[in-house]
Amino acid sequence: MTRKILVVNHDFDLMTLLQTWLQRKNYKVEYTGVVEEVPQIIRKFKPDLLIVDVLQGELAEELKARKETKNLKILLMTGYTLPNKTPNSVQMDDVIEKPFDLSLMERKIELLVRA
Amino acid sequence: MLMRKTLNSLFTSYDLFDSLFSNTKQNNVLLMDTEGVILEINSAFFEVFGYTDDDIIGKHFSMLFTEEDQLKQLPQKELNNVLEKGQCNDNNYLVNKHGIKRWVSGESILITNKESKHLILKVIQDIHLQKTYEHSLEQLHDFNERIISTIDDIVFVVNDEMRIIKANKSFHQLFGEIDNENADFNDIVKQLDNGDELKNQMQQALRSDAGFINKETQVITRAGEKKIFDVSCRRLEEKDNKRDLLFIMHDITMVREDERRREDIIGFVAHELRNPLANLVLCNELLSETLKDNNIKESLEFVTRSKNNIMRLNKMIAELYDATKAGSGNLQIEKQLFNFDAMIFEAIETIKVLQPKYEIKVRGSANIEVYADRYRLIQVVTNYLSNGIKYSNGSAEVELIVEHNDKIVTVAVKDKGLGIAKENLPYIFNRFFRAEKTKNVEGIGLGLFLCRQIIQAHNGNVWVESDEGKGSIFYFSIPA
Repeated sequence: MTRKILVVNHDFDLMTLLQTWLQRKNYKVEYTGVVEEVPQIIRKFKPDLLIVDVLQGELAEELKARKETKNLKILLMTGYTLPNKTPNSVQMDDVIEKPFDLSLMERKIELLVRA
Repeated sequence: MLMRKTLNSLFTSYDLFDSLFSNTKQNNVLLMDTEGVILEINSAFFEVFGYTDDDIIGKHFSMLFTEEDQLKQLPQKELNNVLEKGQCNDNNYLVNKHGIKRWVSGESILITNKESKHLILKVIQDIHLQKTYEHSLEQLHDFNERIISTIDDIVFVVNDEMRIIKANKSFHQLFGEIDNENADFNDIVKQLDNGDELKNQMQQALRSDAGFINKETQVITRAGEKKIFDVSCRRLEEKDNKRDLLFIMHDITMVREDERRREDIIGFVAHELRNPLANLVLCNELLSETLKDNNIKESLEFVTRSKNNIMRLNKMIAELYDATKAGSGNLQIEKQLFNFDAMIFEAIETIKVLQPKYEIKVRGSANIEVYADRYRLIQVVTNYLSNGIKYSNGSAEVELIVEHNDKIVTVAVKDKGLGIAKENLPYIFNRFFRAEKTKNVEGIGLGLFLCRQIIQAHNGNVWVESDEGKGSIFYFSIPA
């Protein structure tokens, strides 16, 4: 069964590159840069995993707080190294730091979609 | 017998007085009648004030007063006083023979001579030096007090019984008015977040000669604000075996805030720089996969995308570097003569390469030669345009309007994008400013800051008009 991933980011280049890379790993991938559209896409696309940037951290928190999306796995990407900015306080399923260690990222994604 | 004894003692006392009158060096004595006419002076008076008998005998004693005191009728008041009370003390200036004022202390006594005639004996001491010392001491004290109360730092002294024996204005402003004689240092300790630790160190300082410096402490002010202080403590130089400690608390709240803000900014900049880096990692990975597949077309695509990301990275680093230079006033402007329209055309071409989807409409023109930094102006125009596109919220239309007269050239870039909230307008050209709504758009908040610095270096102006939700118009003008 093909697992589905939704990428939410502000960087068009990153979203399309991630899509290409994940598609080669046999995932089905959609992306959006418009935060407001996310709930609607989730309803239609029914992703197994959401990959969001720390800049969309509020969205991730909102989704975790909502009943219909609280079980949706979320992987947070961050470029921050400062301890007070890392989203450890946010109850995300996992965190990956930019620039990516791709083999680590691949393993994290595998674990999250299978859980 | 009795008569003779009295006479004897009278003569003796007369002799004694005469010898005192003639030989004293400290007491300058003056004898005058009840009208104030000087009858006699002793040698000490001559020594100290320079007047000889010829200068002074038969003259009215008001000649010894300053003009000012004469106008105030001080001599007459003194006379009335001694005639009424029989004795009086006065401190005032006495003018010596050379016209120099000396501060003196005088005692006047009403006496009666052998002929039962009333006379006034005046004993004068020159206390000018004491007065001068006193005055300079007062000034010095006043000066010290003013320095201590002017200092913004909190300065206070605690004795070995934990009593605050001196505190300046800043101290009272923070901790409230205290009774200087009796204030308990422990009450202050309670208000410091690590007061007990400071108290321990203070007690150590009392035992040894060493004080401490650079201890940090926090105080919540009466207004509820949190303030951070750098505390130093030193033993005051020992006097009368007293062990007093001088405390100085320097407010470093702003410094700490600046540090925190800088950390935030650096964190944010690092985050933004890692975006293109993350893209490069993905490009590289995909490139090696497409190469393995022998897919040249896709491989070339990833090479191009790598290149773009390297350029993005480089642009951010250049902006960061320029902003640092501009912040310290070292932005270099290299002026040359060039055609303004041609410069605008080149800027638009640059944007078209980067953002082919967007259409830039041009209105007006300035087919004139201007003397300015061509490269920097292209930087400003492309920045305005890419901002217009970046914040366009999906609308693909950005308009560029050029106008000029004899004096100035004005460029306006109009978008139909997000617009800027009114409260954010004043800060839009500030360094590292990013409005809340634009947090999802890439950028480190240096572009507009640099634009302003560049245009200001040309003696020009930047400004913005905006309607939130409808769009913005960014302007700049430079001398033509």
